[in-house]
Formats: sequence, structure tokens, C-alpha cells
Amino acid sequence: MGKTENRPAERSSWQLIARRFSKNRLAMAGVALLALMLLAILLAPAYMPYDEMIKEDVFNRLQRPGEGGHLLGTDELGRDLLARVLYGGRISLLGGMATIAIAFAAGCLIGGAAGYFGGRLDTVLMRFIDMLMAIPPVLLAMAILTALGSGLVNLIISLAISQIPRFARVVRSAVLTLRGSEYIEAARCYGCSSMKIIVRHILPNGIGPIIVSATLTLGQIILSISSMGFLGLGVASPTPEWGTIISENMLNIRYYPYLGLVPGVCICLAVMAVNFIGDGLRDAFDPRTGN
Amino acid sequence: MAAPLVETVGLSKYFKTSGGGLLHAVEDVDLKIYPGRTLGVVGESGCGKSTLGRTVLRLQMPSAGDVLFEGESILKYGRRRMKELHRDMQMIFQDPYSSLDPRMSVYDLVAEPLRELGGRRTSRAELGEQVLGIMEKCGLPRRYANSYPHELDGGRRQRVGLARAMVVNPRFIVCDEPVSALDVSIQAQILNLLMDLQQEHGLAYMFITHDLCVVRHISDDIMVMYMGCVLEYAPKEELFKNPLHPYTRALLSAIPTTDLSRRGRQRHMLSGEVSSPVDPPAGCRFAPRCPYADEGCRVGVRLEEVSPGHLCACRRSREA
Amino acid sequence: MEMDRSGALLEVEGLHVRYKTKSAEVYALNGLDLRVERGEKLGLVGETGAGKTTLALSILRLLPERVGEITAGSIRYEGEQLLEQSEAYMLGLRGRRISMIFQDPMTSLNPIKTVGEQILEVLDLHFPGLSKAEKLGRVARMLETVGIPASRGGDFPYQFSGGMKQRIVIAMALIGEPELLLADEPTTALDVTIQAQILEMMSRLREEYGTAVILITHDLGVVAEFCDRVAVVYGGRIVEQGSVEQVFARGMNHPYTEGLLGCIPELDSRAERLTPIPGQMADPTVQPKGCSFAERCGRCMEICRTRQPEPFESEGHSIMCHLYGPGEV
Repeated sequence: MGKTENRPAERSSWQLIARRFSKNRLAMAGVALLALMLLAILLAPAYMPYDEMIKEDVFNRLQRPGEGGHLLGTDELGRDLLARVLYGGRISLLGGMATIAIAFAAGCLIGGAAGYFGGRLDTVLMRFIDMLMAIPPVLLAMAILTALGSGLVNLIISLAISQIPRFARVVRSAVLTLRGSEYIEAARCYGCSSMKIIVRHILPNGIGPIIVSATLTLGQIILSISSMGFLGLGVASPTPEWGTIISENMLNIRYYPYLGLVPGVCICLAVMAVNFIGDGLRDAFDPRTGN
Repeated sequence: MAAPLVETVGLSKYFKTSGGGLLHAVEDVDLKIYPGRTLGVVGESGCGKSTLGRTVLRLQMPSAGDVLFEGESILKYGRRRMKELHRDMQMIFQDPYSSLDPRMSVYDLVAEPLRELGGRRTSRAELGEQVLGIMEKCGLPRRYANSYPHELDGGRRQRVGLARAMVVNPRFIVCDEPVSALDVSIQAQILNLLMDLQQEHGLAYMFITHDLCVVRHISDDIMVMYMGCVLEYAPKEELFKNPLHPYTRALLSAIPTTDLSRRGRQRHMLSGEVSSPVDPPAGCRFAPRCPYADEGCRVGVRLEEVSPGHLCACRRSREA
Repeated sequence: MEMDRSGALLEVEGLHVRYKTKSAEVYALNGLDLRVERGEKLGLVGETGAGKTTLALSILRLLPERVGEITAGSIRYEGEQLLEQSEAYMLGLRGRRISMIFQDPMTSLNPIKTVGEQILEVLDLHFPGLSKAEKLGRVARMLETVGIPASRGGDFPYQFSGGMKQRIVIAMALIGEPELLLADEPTTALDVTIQAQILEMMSRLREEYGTAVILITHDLGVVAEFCDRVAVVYGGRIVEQGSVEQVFARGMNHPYTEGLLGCIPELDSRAERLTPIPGQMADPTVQPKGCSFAERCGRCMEICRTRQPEPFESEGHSIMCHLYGPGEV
């Protein structure tokens, strides 16, 4: 495009954010990786029938990768590892992301309100958060899950609740530092309502550390899902799930390392991809980075 | 003279401190600001001048007293009326770094007040014209529309702050130390711009600063504050020619100047520092540092009209 | 000539400093020359980004590592080349022979140590031979000298006001009895009445200790009242230097100094409008071929854009501008 007339009104800040994001190579790699994983996981039923591939087959126990038509080999019970990893991803990856989304939204709400309005609301909300924080997250999730009864949805809810304190704290501190800024006062000078100030001025400016914290939590959530499964809460064996696959194969990992390696790498890749995306988002929100 | 545009009556603002004390930030301030004129508010840091400015705009609710705009109290205004009022009363801030949202482009920053306060729907093109027009008037060519605050230097940022205040076409602007953070060469540009805009639009300013030279340059009337209280209030020429309050005199003589003939002049040096504004003792706030203070000063002082238009809160002002 | 030179306390010659950032190279100092005599009060004036603080940090060799780099020039302190000394040598120098005070007294003190301890720490570092009692005695005397009762040495920084904190910072800087004090905007964060107190105290201390002071500031008034000599910095060079009388007499000045003087609203002036310097600070990422002020100068000539001016000196008043030269006078 040549030198066109500068039409500022037509370039919204969202477009600019999108453009900065798309220019970030690492972030785009993250998007591609995550998209690939999601596609493989979601479309698995189309090319890999569950019943056929995951049935137990004692004659094909612990096949090495490539042997007997199993691309990644089989586990102790002769189940195809690739199929289990793919189906397991549905719970690990999607469940993990859903958990984070819920915790993120609730944390923003609680932390944002506490930080912005302050006073008694802040005291009440934060004491409640402190109470939750006093209990180790996994223990808290276990308690909630026991009360709700097991099942994937309840598992997600309970894990999300256990993560709310962390997000609420981060959001609150971000809001507190930004609340005193003069541009917030300036916004009040032209009649911005509190809601608009939070959404338009405070969140975009405070979102960086929140996003990073969210993406880093994903790995932890995936492992939490598996530890719950290990404890017999939430998703139980034989339903596949990355963490469970690792724990099931613990005894054989020494001689058949791929059994742990494959799901482990999957967790790593997922966390990495989400992390790249998170970093990219943080930078894209900040006009000071790049062009 | 016309009726005052902005007026305060016995305006006070107190803050509760964590220790249970009461911080007297602004105490019993009466002021009048006329259309097209500038009231300079001078004082050292912590004297309550910024709080005063924010209370006049109702960014903070006063603890006592009243704020009148065109003779009408604004303290009981509801949301809708306040929004209307903000079209007439705006503010520009000291720090051109923190007063602009770093995530918004210059265009969006200037356009936002219009979008918020515009009232009737304006078309996009119309809005654009208005925004670019006011930017141009504030010395920001339209090529800066897509820039972000971090890409501008201090002077240009302050121009953005000014354009943001001017875009709703207000009649009164509180300027809170708008040039203190700028280099002198840029400071002069902004001061000239402020004065040009005032002339063109008949604006009234409340100009808050600690810099007596700047306030002398831009104001019509000057109010000297110390620990929340008004010590002296007079037309500019009168105040500089005939300063009555010992504090004003000390302030004037403390200003460093490049005028070599004033080198080595007799200075009214002040001893000590500002005492705490939390639960201050009765009487003149300046008494602990005043070289002339006696027992009577610790009882009480009133702001009195010494000569027409010249008010001073010192027991000895009539003698001087 | 040689004899005269040996007397200088600090001699900076042709100093070039460059900052390397991710996006650009910033030329902070571009051949700066400066001489400071023993016991002299020199005012270094300039606007943000002119290179004032960079000069102070270069003298102490405290430029941010891997970012700031001295690319050329020399800094001689009492005849010794500082740029060739070891880090250990510099450690012994800082705080003992050259001290620095910073703009913000609020952040220059450690909040969890008493002010007495902090002053004592300087003595512990540089005078390990002294007895404890003697050190404590010196700290008490120093506190009294800067106008703080010695009994308050056990108080913490938060118990002092801004002006008092700056006094403590000055006490820390002077306890080692340095020959040179670099004061970087020491009163900018303070109110005018407090500023007057601090400047008066610094003057008194200078008399007492004979310390040379480089006062870095953007406030011409402060320089006019406090200093003997002025150096005006623009674009990483000293564009004018001379005695306070020479520079502020407004007879012959560099156009930039003239511009600065025209920008400040003076108490007694009747001017309705100020005359600002047009334009903005020169872009420090490009090295201009000619004078760095040319773009903003009202008296710019052809030669200004193409050739770097040489300083023109008469009676110790030197101006770096093509307007003044042997041909013109």
C-alpha cells in the first residue's frame, strides 16, 4: 500500500493488537502448535476409533513403537499409546483450559472489585480469599470434589475454585497500582463510569502479569487433574488422561521410557504453546513493544 | 465585573489517617474564579493545593462547605447532571507520563471524552474532524494521531492532555502543575499555548503550582496556601509588589533567580520545616516557622481584607 | 600552560559516551571537555537528555554495564587517568575522594537502617583504621554540621522529612571528606524554602571543607545563586562555559543559553509572552555533522549544518558557536 491518507478513526486498537500479535513469531508458533494439538485431539474419533485401539490386548503388551501396527507402541495392558494420548488430551488439555478460563474470569471479578472499590468490600473479599489460600490447592479441590461428587465437570469446577485465590491476588494488586494513576482520574473527569474504567483502562494495562500467570498455571492444572485421577477422584482409570497415563506406567518407565516420554512431551508442548501465546498476548496489549 | 464562574464557600476536606487522626488537607477556603481569568494557587508540596483542585471538580467530595458553578451548588448533582458539568469543567494533570493511558493512541485519548460526554450521536467523520481540529489547535499535527504516549516527549504528551481537556469545549480548567515536569524550553511553549487558548475561548483557569515565577506569569489573582489554609489572596501585581504575609515574603525571597543584581540580597530564610497536617494545633498554621510569631498567633487568625481585594491571614498584616 | 594545568582537580577531555539499546544507539556525550579547579563550585546546566547525569556517572565509572560505554576521551582526576584504573581503585575512590548525591532523597537511603548506621558504614569502608569511638564521634559531628541533632542518629529515614533526608544524604557524601562532590539535582525534589536552606548549607560546608562541587541542575536560577562558574550542556557537549557573571550578564551568549534565559518567567519581568526555543531536543540517536543546536537556532547559518564549531574563548568565557570566532571579533 502506498501513502494513504491517515484515517486514524478507522484503526481500532483491537486491530492494532491483532496485528502486533500476528507479527510475533513465537506467539504464532504457539498458536500453530496448539491448533495442531487441538485438531488432532478433537478429530481423533474420525481416524482412530476408540474401542478398537484402546481395548486391552494381553498378547500385545509393551510393544515397542512401530511394532505390530502401533505407531507409539502399547502399554502394560496392550493398549495403543497414541490413541490413549489423543483421547487423554481431551480431558487434560480441554479440561485444563476450561479450568483456567473459569478461574481467570472469577479471579478478575473478585480481585478487580476488591482492588477498585477497596474499603469494606476489599476486606471481606480478601479475607475470604485468604481463607481459601490457607488450604493447599489440591486438598481444597479434593474437598470440593468430594462434596460435589466426582465427574469431569465437577473436577473442572473444583480445580478452578482452588485456583481463584491466585488470580484474585494478582488482579487485585494490578488494579491497586493502576487505580492511583492520573489517567484513571482523567477518565473520571470526563464522566467514565467505574465499570468502563475497569474494563477499558485498568484491565488492559494490568493484563500482562495476569496472562502470564494464567498460562504458567496450565501445566500445574494438567498435573492436578491427573493427581485427582490417581487418588480416584474426578477422572478414574481406565479413562485416559495424560497425567494418569504417566502414573499408570510408572513401573515400566525404566525399560520402556517412551511410555512416560510421550504423554510428558505432550504436557510440555501444550504448556509451551499456551505460554508462547500468553507472552504474545501480553506484548500485543502493550503498544510499547515493537511496532 | 461579571458573576464568578466557579466559587467555593468554606470548602474543607479532611482525611482520616490510619492512626485515627484527622488530616486537614483543605481548610475553610473561599475562592472566586471569573470567566476568562486565572486564579493561581501557590504553595509547597503537601499544602493541599491539589486536593483543593480535585474537590472543586468533585473528584473528591468535600468534608464541609460548598462548590458553586454559575451560582449553583454542584454537590447535590446526580450522575446525569455531573456528566453535563464535566463538559464545562475539565482538568489537566502534572505528570504527562502517568496521565495518559499508555495503551491508547493519541487519537483515542483525545476522542474518548467526546464519546463519553458527546450526548447526541455524532458521526464518525464529524468526531474525527473535531478531534483532529482540537489536536491541531494544541500544536499536535494530525500525523501524531496514531502515535502512542510512549512515542512522544514530555511536551507533546502535555499537549495531548490539554487537547483531551479542550475537546469538550469546557469553560473552566483546573491545571494541576501542568508544566512542573517539563524542561524550561518546553514549559514556555505550553504556557504560551495555555494563554492563547484562554484568550481565544474565554477560559477560566485554576492554575495550581509551586513555582511563583510561573504563577506570576499566567495568573490574574493569586492565592497562597500553607497547610490547607489560605494565607494571602490578592491580585497578582498587588501580591508581588506588596506581599504582606511573612510566608509569602519568604517564598518570594527563596526563589533562585538569574538576575545578578539580586545576588546576595537579604533573604527571609525560614527555619524548620512544614509540621504535620494531622490534627494541627489551633491558631496560625505558619506560626511554628514564623520569625515574627508571638503568643497571640497561636490563638487564632482570620483571613481579613487589608486593602481592597487584598486578603491576608496575619495578625500583623495591618501593622506592616 | 603546563603549570596551570597541573592545578586542575578534574579534567575531562573529548569524552564520548554511547548507550546501546535494543533498538538504537544513543550518543549521549559527543566530545565533552570540562575542567574543575580545586574548591570550585561549578554549575552544569542543561535539559533532560543533555548528558549531565551521564557525565557524572562516567566520572565515577558507574555507567550501566554493557549498555553505556565510553568510546573515546579521557578523565583525569588529580592527574591520574581514571579510565585506566582497576575496579578496586575505583571502589576506594567512590565515597572517599569523589562523592555523589542523587536527586531523590527518598530512595537514596536504606529504609531499614538508622541514619547513623548508614553514615557510619561509609567510614567503616574507607577508614577501617579508626577506632569505633572516633568514628561515632565523627558521625555525630557530621550530623550537627548538616543541621541535624546528633541525638537523632538512631532514627530511621521515615522519621525525617524530605529536606532532612537530603541533609543526611549530604552528610553521607561528605563524611569521607572528598575533594569533589557530584550533586545531581540535589534540590529538585524539594520545596523552594527548603531548597534555599539546603543550598545555603552546602555553601557553608564547601567553605568549611574546601570541597569542589559540580552541581547538576536544570534550574538556571540555582546556578546563578550558588555557583562560581557555569557550563551549559547541549547535545552531549559543553556549548558555553564561563563565570556566573560572564554568562548571566546576557552580553555574549550561545544562542541556546540565550534561548534558555528567554524561557524562564522571571519575577520582575513584564513580558506578556515567553519566547520558547522552537522545536524539540535534538535526536540523540543521530550524530549531526554540524552543530547539534542548528535545527532550533534562530541564527543558524550555512556553516552550522556542515561543520562542528570550535570553542571560542575570551577571558575564560568560552562559547562553542560559529557566530563567535576570531574572525568575528
